[in-house]
Amino acid sequence: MTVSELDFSEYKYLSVFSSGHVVSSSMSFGNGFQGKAFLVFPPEQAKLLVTACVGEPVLPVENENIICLVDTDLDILREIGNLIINAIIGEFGNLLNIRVEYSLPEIELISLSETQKILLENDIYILVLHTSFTLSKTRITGAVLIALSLNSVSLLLEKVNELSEDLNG
Amino acid sequence: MKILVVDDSNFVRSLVGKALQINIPNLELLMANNGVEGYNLYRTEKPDLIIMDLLMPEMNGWELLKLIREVDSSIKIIVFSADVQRATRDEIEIFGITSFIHKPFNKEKSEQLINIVKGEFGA
Repeated sequence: MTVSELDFSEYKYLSVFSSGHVVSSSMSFGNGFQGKAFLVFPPEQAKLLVTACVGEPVLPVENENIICLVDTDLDILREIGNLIINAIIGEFGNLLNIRVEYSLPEIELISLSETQKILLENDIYILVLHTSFTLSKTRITGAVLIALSLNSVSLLLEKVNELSEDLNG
Repeated sequence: MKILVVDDSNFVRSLVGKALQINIPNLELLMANNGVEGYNLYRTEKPDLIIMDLLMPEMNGWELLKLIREVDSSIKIIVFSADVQRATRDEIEIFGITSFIHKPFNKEKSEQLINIVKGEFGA
């Protein structure tokens, strides 16, 4: 994984991708800690990830313009999104001592130009944390985007200050 | 022995089902896609054990667990979820579950599940 970055308006995460579309597995979360998290891959990388998950050899996609994701693939991508997003957001819940509640994972094929609009929908998401990763042995690359509400950012900052005060006596 | 697996992911149901079929003799496996289907199968089939996810459409695992516990305090239930929050586990354990296993379902979790089933039922 790369070191995560904060992104207020520059949308630097877009540089991770070269193609015009990405496959997004996303979950909204709330109950004291509110926002939306996205696990995104270029379509050909999503297909490779599914192949790896079902235990088949991961071979480079011959024609990146012809990627067909069937229901089984979408089911696996939805479950991968569920696992990764729960692992990340769940630790925020543990840190803040609250139980974050999740929506069902959603799979979408979205245009990169639409991601700004999606991240900022409802006007509640003011901070985007993003990181990219490469799975060892497979060269599968993707990104995690977490959009947080103002209240959630405040909660995190309060907690960080509290921890800092505890450490410093 | 009758085991009901309730999970909205066909991929997960298939993985869990295969592990059980390979390791548990005389198994009758039941599969449900959500809490509603799971509850209906629980009422009609009376399984010995239910393995359930928490985040599901129609009726989630919390609601399913509550409904079952209102009428049956003894059936063994294993929660199998991606939720890593301590608060979730604490609240779920109030319902008297047999075990809480975190996804993903890998070799280690498969062995954990099979050991629990064999331990509980002497299978």
